[in-house]
Amino acid sequence: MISTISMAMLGLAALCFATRLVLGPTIPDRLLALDGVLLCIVGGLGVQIARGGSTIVVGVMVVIAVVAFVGAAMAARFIERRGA
Amino acid sequence: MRSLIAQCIALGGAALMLIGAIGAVRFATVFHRMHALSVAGATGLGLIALGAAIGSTDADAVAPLLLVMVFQFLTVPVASHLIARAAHRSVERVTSTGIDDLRSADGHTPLEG
Repeated sequence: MISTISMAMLGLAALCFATRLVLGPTIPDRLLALDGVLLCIVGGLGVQIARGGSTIVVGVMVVIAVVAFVGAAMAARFIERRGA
Repeated sequence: MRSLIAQCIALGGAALMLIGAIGAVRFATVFHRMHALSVAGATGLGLIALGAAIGSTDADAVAPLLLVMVFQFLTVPVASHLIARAAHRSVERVTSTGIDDLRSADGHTPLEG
């Protein structure tokens, strides 16, 4: 029950970030919204483990967290150099 | 009992993520939105990973989950700093008052807009 509420909150949060991803007037807005969606995915996997589910997804959590950081850093460097 | 504590901690983290997402939609400029995301991302995902580490049924999964937590605390401030610097140097006007202390610091003039 508690995990269901957590999952609903994370889904709503991902929906809000996706809204910002579509609306965002600048590229940094879309960048941080994409980062937020990835964090929501990692959070959903974490809630599933906290509920007592399968722990086989823990590697996926680590990989998505690393990819979110590296992607945001690379894209930030790119738009810093290029402008816009 | 342990599962209940873990789920409550994860619920707190999910609530923080939701608050940050609402902030990312409602706030006015890219710097406000980035502040909402970085606070929610670091603390919210940190709490969720802590709850998962407590409630995990497999002892081998605890170390990677704590790794995720520490990694989030280390990388989210760095990522938000990089995004803020890119935004400051590319498009956004920093303040509504026209005072921008970074303008002389890095020798760069952001576009008016």
